[in-house]
Amino acid sequence: MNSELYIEKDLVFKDLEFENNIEALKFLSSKLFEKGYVEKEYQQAIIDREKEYPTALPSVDIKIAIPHANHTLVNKPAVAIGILKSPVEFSSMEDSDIKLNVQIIIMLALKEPHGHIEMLQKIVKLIRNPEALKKIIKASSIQEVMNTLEPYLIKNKAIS
Amino acid sequence: MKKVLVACGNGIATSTVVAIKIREICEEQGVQVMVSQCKLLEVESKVSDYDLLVTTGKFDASDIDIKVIGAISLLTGVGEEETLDEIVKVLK
Repeated sequence: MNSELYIEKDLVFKDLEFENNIEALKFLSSKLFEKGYVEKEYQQAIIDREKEYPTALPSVDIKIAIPHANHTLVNKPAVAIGILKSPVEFSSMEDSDIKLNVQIIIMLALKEPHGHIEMLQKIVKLIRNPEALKKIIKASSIQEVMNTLEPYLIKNKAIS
Repeated sequence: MKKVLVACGNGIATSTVVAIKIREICEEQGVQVMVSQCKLLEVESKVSDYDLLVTTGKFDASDIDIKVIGAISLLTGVGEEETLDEIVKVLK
């Protein structure tokens, strides 16, 4: 069975400002580390992985990156979300020569390889909804972000 | 039964999503299929047992003898139907 995995409010950040994608990855992974979700090495692993296998998706309109790294460095599965004030450049998953201006980062700390299916499907559903992504970008509070995420990512509120 | 190998960077996240989509569409279309997942790094050692390779990341397929399909559309939804059609065509 899939292990349960939910978005926690204290792992959702908005109005973030970074010079580049490495800074953004460091910030989100440090939050996961501080809260005990991942091992210290996860931070470097996620930066290394992004260089080798970039994670930005050529979604419609607002671009998303879904950085993740080795599941053995994860203590407890979690999802950290960073909403950027202005986008930073990530390489496209499809082709690292293509640069995408990413404004929402969904960092996945996944513990089970080939697992977390429900959560991954919900994230994909969110990625495909430009209207929801716009709402998230424009939200004036974390609560508003959570409200928008709710139908997608939060326990027992999944839409069919 | 045809065999599909789905590969992504870590073999843990995007390949999971893509593998499910392939299983779903094949079931819908009555195509029997076996779907496995791996890391892009493992492709070379595994691919000889398969009929189709589907990847989410960039992959140099020059040494691969089987059909290779890129499946980022199954994540973004942009061009998804075309990609699924292409996959089913190979597996039928």
